Amino acid sequence: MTNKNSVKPSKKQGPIRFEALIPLTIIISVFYIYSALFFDLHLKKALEWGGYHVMGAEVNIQDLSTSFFKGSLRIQNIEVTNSQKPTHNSIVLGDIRFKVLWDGLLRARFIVDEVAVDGVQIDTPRKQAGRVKPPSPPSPNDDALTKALAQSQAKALGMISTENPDNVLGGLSRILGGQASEQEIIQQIQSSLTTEKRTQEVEAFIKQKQTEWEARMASLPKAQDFEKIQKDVEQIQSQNFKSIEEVQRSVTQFNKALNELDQKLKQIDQAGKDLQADSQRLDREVRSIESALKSDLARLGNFFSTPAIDFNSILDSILRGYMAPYLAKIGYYRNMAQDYMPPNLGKKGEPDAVQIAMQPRPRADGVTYEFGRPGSYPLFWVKKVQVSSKANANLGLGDLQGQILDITSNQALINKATQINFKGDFPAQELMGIAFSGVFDNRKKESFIRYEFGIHQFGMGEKVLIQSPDAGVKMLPSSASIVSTGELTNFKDLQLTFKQQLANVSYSVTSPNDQAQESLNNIFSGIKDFAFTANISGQLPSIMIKFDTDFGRILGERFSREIGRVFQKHKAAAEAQIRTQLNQEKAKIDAQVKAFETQVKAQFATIQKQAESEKKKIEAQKLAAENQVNQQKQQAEQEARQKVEAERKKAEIEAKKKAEQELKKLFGR
Amino acid sequence: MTLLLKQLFRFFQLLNSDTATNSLAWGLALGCVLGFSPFLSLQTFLVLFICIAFRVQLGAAFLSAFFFKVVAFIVDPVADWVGQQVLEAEALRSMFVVLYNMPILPLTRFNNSVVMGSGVIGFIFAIPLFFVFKSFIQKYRQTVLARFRDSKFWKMWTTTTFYKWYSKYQELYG
Repeated sequence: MTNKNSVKPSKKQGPIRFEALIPLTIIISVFYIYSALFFDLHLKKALEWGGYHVMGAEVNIQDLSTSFFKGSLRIQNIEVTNSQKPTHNSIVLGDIRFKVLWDGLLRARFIVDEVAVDGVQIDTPRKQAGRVKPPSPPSPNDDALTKALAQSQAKALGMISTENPDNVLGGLSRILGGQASEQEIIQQIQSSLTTEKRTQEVEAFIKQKQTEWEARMASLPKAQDFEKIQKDVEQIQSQNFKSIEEVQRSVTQFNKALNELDQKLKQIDQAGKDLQADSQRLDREVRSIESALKSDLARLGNFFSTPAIDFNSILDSILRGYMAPYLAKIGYYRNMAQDYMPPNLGKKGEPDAVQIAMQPRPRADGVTYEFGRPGSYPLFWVKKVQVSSKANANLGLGDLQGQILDITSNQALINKATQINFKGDFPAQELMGIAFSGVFDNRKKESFIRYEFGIHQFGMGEKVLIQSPDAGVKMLPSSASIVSTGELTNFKDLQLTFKQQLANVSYSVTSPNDQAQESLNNIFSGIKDFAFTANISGQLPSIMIKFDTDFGRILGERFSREIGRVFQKHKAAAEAQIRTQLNQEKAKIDAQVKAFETQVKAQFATIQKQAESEKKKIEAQKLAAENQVNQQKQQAEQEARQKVEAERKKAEIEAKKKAEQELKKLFGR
Repeated sequence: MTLLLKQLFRFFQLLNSDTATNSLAWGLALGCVLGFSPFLSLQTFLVLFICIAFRVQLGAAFLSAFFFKVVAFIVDPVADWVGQQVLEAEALRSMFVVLYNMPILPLTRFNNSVVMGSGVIGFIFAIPLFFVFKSFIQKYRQTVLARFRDSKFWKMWTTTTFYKWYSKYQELYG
């Protein structure tokens, strides 16, 4: 019988907990089942999520399979949505497969000997539009470049610059169409012509002089004045003088009359001189009209001179708009590169020494050291990524061969720079001769990223150049090539060149005006081959962008030539019209001047003649009076002489008598 | 969670019994190592394996790990300093280079200063802590537990129906 109260004897347990085997087995089984059934799916979702946040656009993966024991991963059909065109993929990778070395994994390193990438496609249509991550607003901590590029991207997306080239080119089209007629041009010009102003001034001057001379002529001595003088002179006694006083009086009166006449003659002389001077001035004024006419006609040529059209500045503003999203991308990928690319672990201060130094890499949670040695594994190293794809135009597959060598977290440890080389064609997208080579070297003190990229031939779609009510010009689909090189040193000094060469370009020109259409056709038909170049250089974030294109120069030259031809036509007509107009006005002035001179000179001549004749008369009378006076004077003198002689003789006789008397007295007899 | 709670109850049960002193002490000491180690590291899995495979009281280990995790968080700057001194020691550099390039060992993340410093502190204190905890347990049983069992409350408690059911349950199912 069992004792109810008996205690079960406790079994002595050994040090090893064997009963834990079952739960441990269960746990391991759970992990195994998870990795077999769910791990691949969850990894695929994680990669799609991570890809979306890194690329900024939806990433889809068709299939992902892993093998823990083999350390392999295979991803099939990765589609990366084009953020600019969500209905298409920017790139599709048909198959990516690689194996991770267990040797590295056991050392907590991720080492891959070779990654194979097959079936590369670009710009393929998606089944449905992919999600695109909205751009994040610039945070206060963003550097100046990120902010500026974010702003310029927002501004430039889908917009041309504020300097709307359509206005300028539309205006030029109007000119080519002859819509700016000669009349309009002349009206525009007229306000700036000096001949017309000069003519008006001269006309005013003539009128002024006419008024002056009319008044002056009225103030000049008239015939009545001379008749009065003549009457006064006739009143003067000119003969039968009884005394010398009468003679004197007559002479004085004659002189007075003559003085008065002289005064009037002086007045007339002065008026004559002034008339001469004014006549000469009028001549000069008329000649000045002629020289103004000549200078205006010369300037007319300048008015119609071909404008220097700076197409480069217009294209600069267009191209900046196009380039801004790409610059924003440069800034975005530069920031990403700085975050994700392997650090420069070489010793500072010794640019050429590549030492595998124990460099602390500061982290938020402690400091992690890498105790590398030459030949050992870095933390992450993909030795080779081999890309190959065979062209199949129906499937959009390209013919691509390339490789990426030595993607690693520690270039100094393996002493190899990361290199990228690709060559290929994508016939479905009309991309032929794609070549890309790049190097990223972070071993030395100055890290650099260098690349060369070129596409030998690709199709350029239709591009609208001018879209205005007056003209429409489109660049029709053509082929082009691109060459680009770049270098980024120390993640700061940037040098980028970009050259796009277009060949055999044709255009579609439309205009409501036939003449403008013909002119535009003439202009654009000659621009078949040209190139766009862009040079970006400087220290991030302050970079300089310089655009250059011979498209602008050739376009400017052809536009100028065509406009010059149109302008010359307008110029000849305008010149003739203006010359006729101005000549008519000059003739009018000449007639006025002639009439003025004729009238005034005639009047003046009459007055002068009259004054001269009066003067002669008076002088003759004066002469007669003077002769009379002289005659009488001579007579009086003679009489006086005779009288004096008689007196002398009488005095002599008396003196003789007296002397004889004296002698008689003396000698007493 | 059930497992964890069960282990914690078992810890208190064993603590208040006369047995498993070493198991409890090892659990508390290894818990110190767990507390000072990173959550996802090789040494954590190694210590857990030891706790599971050998009769180390898991409840004590988890309780101790929780406590020392807080302590490790507080002394992280000290651990960082200790780790940097150890990792930057020139005399040990060649050894570290070998260890870093060996298989398995890099999974311990010993090349991180906080991990190294915490590990050094944890492993240094683990052995003495075993003896300390062992003597604490013995002292606890001799003094606190004995006094509690002599108290009127305990005597009254043991007469309750609930305690009788509990004792029966322990007898039958252990």
